[in-house]
This record gives sequence, structure tokens and C-alpha cells, in this order.
Amino acid sequence: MSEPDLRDPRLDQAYRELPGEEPPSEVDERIRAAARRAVGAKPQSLEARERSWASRWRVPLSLAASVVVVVTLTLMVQEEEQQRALDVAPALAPAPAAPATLEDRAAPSRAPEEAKRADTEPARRAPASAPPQRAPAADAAAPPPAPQVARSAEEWIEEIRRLKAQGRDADAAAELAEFRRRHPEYPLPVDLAR
Amino acid sequence: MTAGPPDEELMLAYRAGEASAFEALYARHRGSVFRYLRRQAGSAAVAEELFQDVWLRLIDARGSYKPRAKFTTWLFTIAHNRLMDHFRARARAALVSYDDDPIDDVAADTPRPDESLARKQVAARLLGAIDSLPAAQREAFVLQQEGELSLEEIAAVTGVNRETAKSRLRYAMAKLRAELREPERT
Repeated sequence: MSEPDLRDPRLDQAYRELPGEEPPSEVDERIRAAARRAVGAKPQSLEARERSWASRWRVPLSLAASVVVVVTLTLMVQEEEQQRALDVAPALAPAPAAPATLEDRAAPSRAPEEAKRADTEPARRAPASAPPQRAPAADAAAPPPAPQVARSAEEWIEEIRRLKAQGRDADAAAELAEFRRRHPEYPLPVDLAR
Repeated sequence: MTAGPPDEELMLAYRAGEASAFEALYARHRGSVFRYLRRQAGSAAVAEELFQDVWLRLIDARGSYKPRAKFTTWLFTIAHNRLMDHFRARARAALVSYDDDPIDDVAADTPRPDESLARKQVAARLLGAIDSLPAAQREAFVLQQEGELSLEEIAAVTGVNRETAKSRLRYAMAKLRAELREPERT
């Protein structure tokens, strides 16, 4: 009300102090029942009415909270796996069960080709940890260009490049496949990416 | 300030079928609507009857409710209209003079409720003074007090222009102030 003279605090106070008449409870109940019937609702206790308002929002909020937790955990796990993949290269331990060496994959049919290159390819890395199941022919073939001990991802990439440069596409492809298996998140250079 | 959703939101929820929204609205406004009708109707029994009718009308009208104005303006308009229907049906002589003549003193023809004066001091005198007001002035004052309506809203509820509502309210307040200033009659 914008007219100040139409509001009198003393009068307001005096009015508030008048007996606060209320409708009888039976009138209240008749009206409430009519309101419920109009919308097809059943009678509810006061507690049920209060729960109704709260419960409407409880499930949606719980679902939202669950989604947030799951997404957060997923992102955390993915980050850990990525970090682990990047960290594993310099500390790569020999994997006895891993058939990652060139000898393991070198098919007997390639042995003769390997033999031709045996003299030109220096054995840079000691195959001391090579599993005994390696074929003797493979040992006699060209020295394995990519043993798994103490080789960083970058060195391995360079090794693969050298194989390709030497025309040893099959060896390069096998090394590349193994590299991808061990470093799935490593961004391959353009010349090696397919 | 009322806690919880606004009245308009509750009424829309009730329109959509949420019975508990009506419960909240009813709890908020049952007292003020009842006292408005009680002050105007002159008897508790009539006020109860009119009060129930007002809320039943609101329930029936829920489907067409649109929050064009404040909910309380709409609610008290329903109450006012029901009151007018009652007076027309009952042809109460006092309400025929539902006028704005500031000189009109219906109190001279209406006995002061002595039992009210006996109960409390200022409050009792005020109650009697309110009852003694011309109906139109009384209604304007009670709508201000019970409905917390603005001048424009009072005008909308009672179907008059702003200046008429202002005049009614001003004269009502002047008479009530004068009553409060007067020494208690013995």
C-alpha cells in the first residue's frame, strides 16, 4: 500500500490482539475431505502429508548423487590407468609369460630371412631373460631388436622405425602390435599410426 | 513472510491433482478468511456456512485457476462475492446502505456489543468499533488486516475503483482511531 496514512501501527497492533477466531474443526474436515475427493486423493495424516512432500524429492536427489559418485569414480579410475600406462614403460619388468620378443613371433618360415640379417643387426640387448621356449632357430636369427627390459616407449618407437627403415616390415608390424598392447594410451607418431 | 512455496504455486499444484498442496493453502488462509467473513456476516453460524461455501467454490474453480493476480486477491474475491450473494439473498437492511457516505453512522442504529466491551480493554472496544462501521468501510479495513491486501487489491476484490477503496479505508481508520482514543465508557 503506497499511502502511508492508510497504515496505522497502533491500529494494526490492536487488531492483532483481537481474539483469533477460527473455523470449527468439523468445518475444516468437511472442506479438506471435499478437496481430496475433488482430486481423487485419500485421506492422509499430517505426518503422511509432510512425508509426501519430502519423499517426492528424495528419490531424484538420491539418483543424482549416485550418478555423480559413479562418474567421479570412473574418471578417477581412468586417470589412474592412464598414469599407470605411462609409468610402466621405464620400469618395464621382464614378462616371462609375454611372448613379446621377436623370437617368439618369428615364424620358422622367417628364420632364413633373419639369418641373413644376423650379422648386420647387433645384439643390443641381452636376451638373458628370454624364456627357454624360444626357438633355437630364433636365437640364431637376427638379434631381437626389441627385448622388453629397460626400454622406454620412446626407444621402442625408434626401434620400430629402424625396422621399417630396414625394410623389415613384418618385424616392425609385430613390434608395433606389441607396443600398442603394452602402451595402449601412448600417442603413436603419425608415421606409425594407422 | 510465509515459509514454503508461494500460494500461486500451491494452487497450481492442487489444480494438477496434488491434494497436499490444498492442505498447505488451507492451513495458511483459513483463519483470515474466516475472520473476514465473521466480521462481515454478523454471526458465527452464518460465517461458518459462508466459509465452507467459499472453499468449495475454490475447489470447484481449481481447473480454471490461472495466477493472473495474487492468490489472496482471488481468494478474497471469492469470499466477497459469496458474501454479497448472502446479503442479496437475506436482504439484510444494514447492507443496503453499502455506501461510501462518510457521514453515515450506522453505529447509531446498531447496539454496541456490550459483552465485547466487558471482555478486554482496547481490543474489545476495537471489535465493537469494527462491527459498527458501515459494511463497505468495515470490509475495506478487514481486507487490509486479514488479507494483507494493498489498496489496489482491495479495490479489485470489492469491485470498485482505487479512489473509492481508498476513501472507504480512510474513513474506517479514522473512526477506529477515534474509538481507540476515547476514554472507556462505563
